[in-house]
Amino acid sequence: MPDADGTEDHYVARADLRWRELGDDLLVFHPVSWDVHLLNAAAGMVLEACSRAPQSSPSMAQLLVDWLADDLRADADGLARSLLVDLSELGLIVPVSQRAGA
Amino acid sequence: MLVHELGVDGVAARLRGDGLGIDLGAAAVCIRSDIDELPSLLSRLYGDFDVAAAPGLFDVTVQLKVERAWWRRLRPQVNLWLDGEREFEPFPRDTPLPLLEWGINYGLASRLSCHLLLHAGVVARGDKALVLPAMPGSGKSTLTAYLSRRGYRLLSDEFGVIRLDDRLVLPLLRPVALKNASIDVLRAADPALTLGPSYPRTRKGTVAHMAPSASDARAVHQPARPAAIVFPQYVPGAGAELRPLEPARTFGRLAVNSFNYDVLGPQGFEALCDVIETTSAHSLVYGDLAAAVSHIDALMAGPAAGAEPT
Amino acid sequence: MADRPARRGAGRRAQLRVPMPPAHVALLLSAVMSPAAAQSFDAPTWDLVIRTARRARLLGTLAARLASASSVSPPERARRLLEAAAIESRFRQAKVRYLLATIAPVISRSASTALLLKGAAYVMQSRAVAAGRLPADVDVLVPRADLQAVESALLDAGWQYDAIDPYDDRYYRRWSHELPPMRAAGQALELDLHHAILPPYGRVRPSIAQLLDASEPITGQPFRALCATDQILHVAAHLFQDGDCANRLRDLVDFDFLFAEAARIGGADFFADALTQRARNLGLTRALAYTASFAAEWAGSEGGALVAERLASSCGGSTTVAVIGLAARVIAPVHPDAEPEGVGARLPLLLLSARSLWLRMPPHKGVQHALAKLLRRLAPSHGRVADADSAHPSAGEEKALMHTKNLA
Repeated sequence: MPDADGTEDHYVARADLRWRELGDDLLVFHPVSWDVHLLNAAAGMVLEACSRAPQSSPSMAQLLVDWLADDLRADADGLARSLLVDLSELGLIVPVSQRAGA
Repeated sequence: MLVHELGVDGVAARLRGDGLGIDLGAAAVCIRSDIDELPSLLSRLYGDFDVAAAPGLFDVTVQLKVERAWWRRLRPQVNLWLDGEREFEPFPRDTPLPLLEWGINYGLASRLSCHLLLHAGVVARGDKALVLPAMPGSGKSTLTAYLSRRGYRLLSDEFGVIRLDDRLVLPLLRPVALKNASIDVLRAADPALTLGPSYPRTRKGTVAHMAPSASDARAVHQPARPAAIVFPQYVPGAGAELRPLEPARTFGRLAVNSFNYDVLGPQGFEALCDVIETTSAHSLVYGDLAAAVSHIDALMAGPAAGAEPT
Repeated sequence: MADRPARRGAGRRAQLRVPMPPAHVALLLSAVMSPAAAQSFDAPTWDLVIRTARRARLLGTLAARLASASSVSPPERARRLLEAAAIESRFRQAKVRYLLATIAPVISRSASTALLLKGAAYVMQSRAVAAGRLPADVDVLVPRADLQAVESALLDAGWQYDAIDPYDDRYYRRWSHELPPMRAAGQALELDLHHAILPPYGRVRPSIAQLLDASEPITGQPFRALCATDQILHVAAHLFQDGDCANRLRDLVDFDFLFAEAARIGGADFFADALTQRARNLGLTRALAYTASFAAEWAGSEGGALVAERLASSCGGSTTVAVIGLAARVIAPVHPDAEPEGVGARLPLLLLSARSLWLRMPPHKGVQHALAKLLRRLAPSHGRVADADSAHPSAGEEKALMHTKNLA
């Protein structure tokens, strides 16, 4: 949720990740933990977007909404938020502070 | 010079002296031992392998020695020494070969981190390699040995050695350890088989060792390109069914079936992804060996095996 | 390697006499200290040196030293074996960094200060001695007053102790300078928490306050490290007092490399003076004298020679001679082709263990502890891989995560 002054958490992907697409899935190698993470299509889209530019929950919801099946579209916000949290917990994306609309 | 050309006496002299060196392909092993029956056993099982000069430079050096302690005379035992360290509990005196073979495998598994090392059997048709990862209950050794008797070249029954430079599979050829019923199955499949003695009392049941063929031993320095990965699962009474596996799932299974994928870090990740991208992966549930082999024949002959790198 | 300084006049007392190293050890050390020497190695020599290095946990160091010597091109098989060790080293160093990155916030919250010791420090400081190193664990020292808070915070964060014999656990907590090792899911290395560099009830007790006062920050890290003299004194203390000197060749190499790096700033003589003075202040002259003498005699260490000369008066007497003799037998790794060991080979190790215990705790307690350990050692399968056929490499998640300390 945006803070009182309208800022949203923004995230960027770590610059030193290695990833490979295998079939429909994305495998991501984390350079510090040396763990390999298997991301499904939605998580992969979010990670790739974060590698191009800082992304926030609303921008990711917008990215996902067209791609999601009808019955899931209504919860695009929730899905986007939880994906960002998960990817952040895995250390694949990191928060940057940025004002909304900047 | 081949091991059998030394004669049993020649083999014995080396075992008791500077060591019997054997070229296995991706690695060379040096064996020293004072055990009486070993010279003729090794002549039989390694007869067609090239001798490697000892003293020399080896990947693994082992000593197999009868326990000398006086209190052991009543129940004699043998010990395996790897570079002066005794890694294992002793075996009974009458079971030396399984200890030797398992000990060499243990040494090899820990010395070859310059390659991506999979726990798998590997056979080849032409220059295309089939990798058979060794999940528990897979019957991998039996299947690998059987394939080697049905027109496939045996590269290894234990180690899939993937060279990092070019992603080729290197032979690491060893006698195949067959267990229990597999011994009879293989004998029936090829009556001309060369088999070592059966050892009934190991933890895995009865174990006997099958010598690789002369042509396979000659080819230990001939790599092959990975074309297909098949995860076998033996289910008694089943026919045989081959099912494609998703690449990401294959990655997970191969990672778990690798000795050093984790140690290689980023290099291991890239190598494993490359191998998966250029091979077709399947699971094979089988109870009927002959049926399993015809599925594999079709797979290896077909267009799916050995996709070009993208 | 520089020649040793000329001996001075008649009033000078004799230096510690260190026996010559065994041939296989001399060969290995020559390759590590002067890699160009390896150019003349034939195949059997490479074989002996590589196998000895592996036993001594110096194969990664050897690989790094040879890689930096452009005049040496090892045979192909040697190159692959060395490369395997370099790969293992790279893996372990990455695991050190990962472990520290994970615990840094936990320790910052719960300790007033935290020092990295030994390999973890060398790696994070990018010391020359870190090249090719094969760390088996991460050693972190915190003030004793913070120990309980740090321990709780780590336990809360998912760290655990291995199932440990209650006797060992009591021993660790009461008599040792470190807690039992801790492990966490996803971490390949163990974490060892220290509150002193030597056991707290032992006969030699360097002041932790002095060590902390002289400590240095590590760039980009919330952790600190011992200063250069103290790092070397820690190696010396670890070699001769904290342990039983078994297979500790690596400590002699560490001594020389650390000395050489520190001596770059003000020169070898200057640093040798500083090091010996610090040893006097901390009560570690004996350990330093032993270590320096061995480093000089076995590894041709210039720093060792300079320090040994300065400390010649610190040691002497029959105890010293006996310890030096014992240590010589067990610092070196066993020859890779050695015949299986008999009681005679074990005796020096047992005697040094006894000595190490004597230094570590009050005498009556020492006897009690040794007796308990002896009784438990009679139980089967102490510390060995159980059975060849179940040690046979098997698929399993655990293999993908954990590496054992035994690198052979």
